[in-house]
Amino acid sequence: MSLYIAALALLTGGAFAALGLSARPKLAVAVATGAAVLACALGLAPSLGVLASGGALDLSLPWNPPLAAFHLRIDPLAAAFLVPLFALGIPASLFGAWYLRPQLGRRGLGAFLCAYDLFLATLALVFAARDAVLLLAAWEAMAITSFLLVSFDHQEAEVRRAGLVYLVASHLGAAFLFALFLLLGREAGSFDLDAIAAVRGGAVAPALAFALALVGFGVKAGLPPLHLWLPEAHPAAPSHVSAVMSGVLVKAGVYGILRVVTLLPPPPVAHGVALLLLGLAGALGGITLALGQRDLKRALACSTIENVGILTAALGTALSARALGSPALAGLAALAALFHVWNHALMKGLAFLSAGAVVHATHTRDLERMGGLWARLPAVGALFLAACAALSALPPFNGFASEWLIFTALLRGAVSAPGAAGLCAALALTALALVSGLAALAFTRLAGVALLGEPRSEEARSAHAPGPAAWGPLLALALACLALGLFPGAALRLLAPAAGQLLDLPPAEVLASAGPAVRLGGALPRGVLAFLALGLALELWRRRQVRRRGQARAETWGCGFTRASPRVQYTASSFSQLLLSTLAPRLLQPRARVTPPRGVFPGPARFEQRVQDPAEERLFGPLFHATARRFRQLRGLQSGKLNLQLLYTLVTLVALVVLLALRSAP
Amino acid sequence: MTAHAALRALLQVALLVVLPPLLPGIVARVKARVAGRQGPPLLQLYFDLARLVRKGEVKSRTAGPVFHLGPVVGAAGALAAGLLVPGPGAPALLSFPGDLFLLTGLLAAGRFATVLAALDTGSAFEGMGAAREVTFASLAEPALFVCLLVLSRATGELSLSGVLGPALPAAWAQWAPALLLCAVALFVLALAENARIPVDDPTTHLELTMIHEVMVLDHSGPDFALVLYGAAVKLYVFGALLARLALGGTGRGILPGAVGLLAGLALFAGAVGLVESSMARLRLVRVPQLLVGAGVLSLFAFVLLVR
Amino acid sequence: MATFAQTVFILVVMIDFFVLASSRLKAAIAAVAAQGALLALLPLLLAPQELHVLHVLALSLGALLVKGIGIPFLLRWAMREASVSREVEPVVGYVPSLALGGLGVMLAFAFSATLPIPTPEKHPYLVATSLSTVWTGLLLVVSRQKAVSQVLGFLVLENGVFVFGLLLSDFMPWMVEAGVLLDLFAAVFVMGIVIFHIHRTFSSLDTGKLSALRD
Repeated sequence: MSLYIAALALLTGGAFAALGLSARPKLAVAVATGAAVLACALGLAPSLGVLASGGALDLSLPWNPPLAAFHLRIDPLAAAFLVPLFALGIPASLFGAWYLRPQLGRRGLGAFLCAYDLFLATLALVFAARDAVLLLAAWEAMAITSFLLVSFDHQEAEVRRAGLVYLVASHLGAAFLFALFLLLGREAGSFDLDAIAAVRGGAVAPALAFALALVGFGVKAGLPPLHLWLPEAHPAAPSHVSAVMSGVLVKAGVYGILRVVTLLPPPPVAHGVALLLLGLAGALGGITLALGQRDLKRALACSTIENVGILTAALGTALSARALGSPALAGLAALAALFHVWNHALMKGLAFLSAGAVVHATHTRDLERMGGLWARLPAVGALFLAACAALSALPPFNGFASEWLIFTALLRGAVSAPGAAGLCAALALTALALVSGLAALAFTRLAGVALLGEPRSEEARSAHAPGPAAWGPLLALALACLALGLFPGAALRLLAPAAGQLLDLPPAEVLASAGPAVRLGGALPRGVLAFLALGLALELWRRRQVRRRGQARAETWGCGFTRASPRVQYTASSFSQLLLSTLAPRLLQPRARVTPPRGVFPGPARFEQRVQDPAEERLFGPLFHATARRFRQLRGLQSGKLNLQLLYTLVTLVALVVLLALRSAP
Repeated sequence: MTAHAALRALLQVALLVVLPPLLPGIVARVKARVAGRQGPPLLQLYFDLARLVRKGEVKSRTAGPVFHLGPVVGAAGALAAGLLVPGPGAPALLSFPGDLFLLTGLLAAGRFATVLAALDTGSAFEGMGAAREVTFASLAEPALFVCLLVLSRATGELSLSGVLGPALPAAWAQWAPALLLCAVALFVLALAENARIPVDDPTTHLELTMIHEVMVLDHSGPDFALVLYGAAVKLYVFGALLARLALGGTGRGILPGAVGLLAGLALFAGAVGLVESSMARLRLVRVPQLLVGAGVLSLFAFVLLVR
Repeated sequence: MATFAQTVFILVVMIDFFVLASSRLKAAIAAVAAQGALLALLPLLLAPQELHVLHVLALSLGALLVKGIGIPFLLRWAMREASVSREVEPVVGYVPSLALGGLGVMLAFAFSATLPIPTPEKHPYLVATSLSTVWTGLLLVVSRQKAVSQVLGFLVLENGVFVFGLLLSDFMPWMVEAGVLLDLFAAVFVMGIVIFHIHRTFSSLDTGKLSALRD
C-alpha cells in the first residue's frame, strides 16, 4: 500500500512542481513526465501484487470533512482497473513529453502539466476509494482535470465546444451518482462502502440503484445514448490525453457499474439482459458511426464506444448467466470482459498515440488529406497498422484473444442453455460477429486511406518521420499487444481473482472455466503461432524468389487509363459508402447533398455529406433546446441586484425551516 | 507420438498442401463440359503456379511493403485455417473448444491483409474491390458464425473436429431438416467467401463488376502464385467442412476416410461448377440479400434445434 | 408421416423468406402458389382418424384449387394487365424486411410453445408456422408499394390463418374452413377491383398515389 501512496504523492508533487516551474517549460515537462512515469511504475507493483495473490490492501487515514473517511482499498477488482491505468500511463506520458515539444513556449503549459499529473492521481484514487464521499470527490476532481486537459487548445472554437459538452455530460452523470450514494448511504448509516456492502443496499430497490448507476457511470462509459461526449472530447484533447481517456477514463464508468453491482444483492437476470442489450446497441451503433467519420481521432473515439459496448455485453452475459445458475459460463464471460478492458486500454492507447504522431506529422486529422504516409513515416505507420489489426480482433494480436473468449462464452451459452436463453446467446453472438465484421471494414478504411496509396494532399506529401522519442513508447505498447495476444493465459490468471470477486466465485473455478486452450502452450496460442510461423516462412520464400528472379517497378495498372492521379484513389467516404447508404438503418445514414455534373460540357459538380448521430439529433438536441427555452422564461427573476439575490436566499431558508418544522411536527 | 499418429498427421498436412489446386481445376472442367467444351486440363492450376513461381515480379511504384502482406498473410491464414479442419477419418491436427472462431479469425486476417494490399496500389479499381470485399464479408461472417453454431448445438460439441466427428451421424438422424438448412447456408457462404459466381465472377475481365479478382490486379510472379494458392486452400477448407457435414462425418480409419473426403471434395467442386454454369452473377445490390438470407436460414435452423 | 409434415412446415417458412426477399413478382407469385399447394397437403397429413375421408379430401382439393392454382392465375393475369413485373421501391428495403421476417419467425418458433392454446397440439411446428406466415404477410402488406405485391402479402397472411384454422378444424370442421376460403375469395375480389380501378384511374399500380384521392 505504501507504494501506491507514494505513487499518489509523487503525482501530486510532480503536478505542483510543474506548475511552479511554469517559467522554465523544458524542466517542467521533464519533472511532470518523470513524476508520472515513476509513479506509474511504483503503482503497478502493488496492483499486480494484489492480482497475483488475490488478497486486498487496505488503508484508512484521518480526514476532516464531515461524513467522509479517507478509506482506500485495492482489492482485485480495483487492481484489475489500476493495472491498465499505470501500464498505459508510462508510454502515454513519455509520448506526451515528445508531443508537447513544439508547445514549449505556450502559456498555460504548466497548468496543463499539473492537470495531467493530477488527472492520473484522481483516476488512481477513483479505483481505490472505499468511501462513497471520497469516491465522489475523486470522481469530480477527475472530471474537472480531464476537462482542463480536453480544453488545452482552447483557442479553437471546436475545442471549447467539445470541452463544454464533456463538462455538462460529466456533471449530469455525477448528479445521478450523488442520488445513488445518498440513497445507499442513508440505508447503511455510513458512506463507507464496507458498510453499504454489509447491508446490501438495505431498503433501496436494487432496480433503482442499478438504474442510477447505469445512468451515472454510463455517461463516463459511453453507453448509448449517453455516448455523445466521446466523439467530441477525444479528437479535441492532445493525443496522449485521448489515449488515457479512451483507455482508462472510459473504463472508470464500467468500473463504477461493477463496483455498485458488488454492493447490491446478486442482480436478477433482467439487469444482466439490460447490460447485454445496452452493450450490443453501443457496439453496433459505435462501429457504424465510426464508418462515417472523416476525422481520424473521431473515428477512433467511435470505436471506443464499440469496444465498451462489447465488454459491457460480455458483462451482461456474465450477470445473466450467474442469475440463471451457470457459474462456469458467468466466470468465463466476466474474465473475457475484464481481459478486454486490459486489451482495449493497450490497443486503443496504441491507436491514439500513433494517430497522434500521424496528426503531428501532417497537421491534419482529416483522412481525405492523408494517404501515402507509410512511405514517409514507416515506423509510425507499422505501429498504427498493428493497432488497427488488434482493434479488428485479428490474430495474433490481443483484441483477438479477448474477443475469442467472449465468443466462446456465448457459444457455450448458445449450445447449452435451454429455450429463450440459448436463443438470446445466439442472437448476441450474431450481433457481435456483425460488429467484428464492421470493425474490419472501419479499420481497413482508417489504415488503408491514411497510410497507403498516394498522398492525397501537400501536407501528407511533405510529412516528416518522427524520431524514436515518438515511436519508442508505442513500440512497447505494440509488443504488449502482441504478447497478450500470444500468451493470454498469464493475464487471465491475474484477472481470475477480480472476476471471482465480481461473481462471488473462487478464482480457481473462474480460471478453470476458460479451459486449457488459452493456457501457455495451449491449443489457441499454438494455432496462432502456427499462423505466424507459416506467414514468416512464406515471406522468406517470397523474398528469396524475388531476389533470384528480379523485380521491376511500373505504374499501378489503371485498366487502360493512363493518366492516374492521387485524386482517382478510393476515398474514405467512398470506402464505407456501400455499407452506409445501402445497408445501414436510415437513422445512421449520412445525409448527402449532391449536385451532379450535367450536360455535354458539365459545369462544376458538388458532393457534400454529413454524418449525424441520432442520439444528438433526435434525443439530446431537442431535449436541451426545449429545456433552454423553459429556463429563458425564468430569466426575469435574475435582476443582478444584490439585495434581491439575498432576498431569494432568505426566502429559500425560511421555506426550508418551515418545511422541516412541518415534517417534524407529529 | 506413435508412428501411426505421425503418419496420419503427415498425410493430413500433405493433403492440405497438395490437394487444393485441384479443386479449381475440377470446377473449370465441369463448367467446360456443361458448356460443351473440352476445357483446360484438371491440373491447370498446378501448371500456372509452377509458371508463376519461376517468374520475376512487376511492382507498382506506389506500393510499399504492405503490398506483399496481402498474398503472404492470405495464404498463411488459409493454410493455418486448414490445420483446424478435421482430416480423413481423424480429428484435425489442432482441435480445441472454440476453434471455429480461430478459423474465422484466420480467414479474416487474410482478408484484412489482402484488402490493405489492394489499397496500397492507390488504384481506384482495387479500392472499389477492397470496399466491396470487406462490406460483404461483414455480412457473411455473422451467417458463418450461426452455421457453425447450429452444428455445435446439434452435436453438443464445441470444436470443429467434434462437431464433424463421431457425433454427426446421430445429429443427422435427429435434426435432419435443420442440418440440411445449415448445409445449404454454408454452401452459399462458401460460394460468397471464395468469390464464386452468384456473388463474384472469377473469370470476367470487366473490372467494374469484380470483387476479389480486382483486388489482386497488380500482383504478379510469386505474389500472384501465393494469391492463387491461398484462394485454392480457402476453397479446400470450405469444401472439406461441407464434405464432412454432407457425408455425416467420414468413416473410421484413414483409408475410407480419405476416399470419403476426396469424393466429397469432388462433389463439392462439381456442385460449384454446376452453380457457375447455371446461374448468372447477381447484381451488386442483391448480394447482401443473398448473404442475409443465408444468415436468416441458419438462424431458422438454430431455432428448430432450440425448440 | 410426422417428419413429412415437418418438412412441409419448414418449406412453408422457407417460402415466406423467399417472398420477403424477392423483387420479381413472377417468382413471388409462383412461390406463393407453391406455398398454397404445400398447405393443401397439410389436411391430409394431420387429419385425425375420426374425421371423414371425403371431408379431408374436399378441404385439401379446395385449398389446392383456390390457393395453388386459381388465385395465382388471377394474379398473373393482373400482372400482365397492369404490365408490372417487379416491385420497384419497397417502403422497407429487402434486406431489412428479410431480417425483420427472420426475427419474427425466430420469436414465433421460440415462444409458440408457451402460448395458451386451448386445443391439443397437432404438430409442434403448426402454431409457429402459422404465426410466422401471418407475420410475413403483415410485413409484406405494410412494406410493399405495388398493389399486386400487397395482394400477395394478403394471400400469405391468409395462408397463415389457414394453417391456424387446421388446429381448430376438429371442433368446428366446416365453419372454419368455409370461413377461411370465403374470406379469401372476398379479399381477392376486392383487391382485384382495386387493382383494376387504380390502373384505370392512374395508369399505375402504386398505392402511394391513392393518397391523391383524399379531401
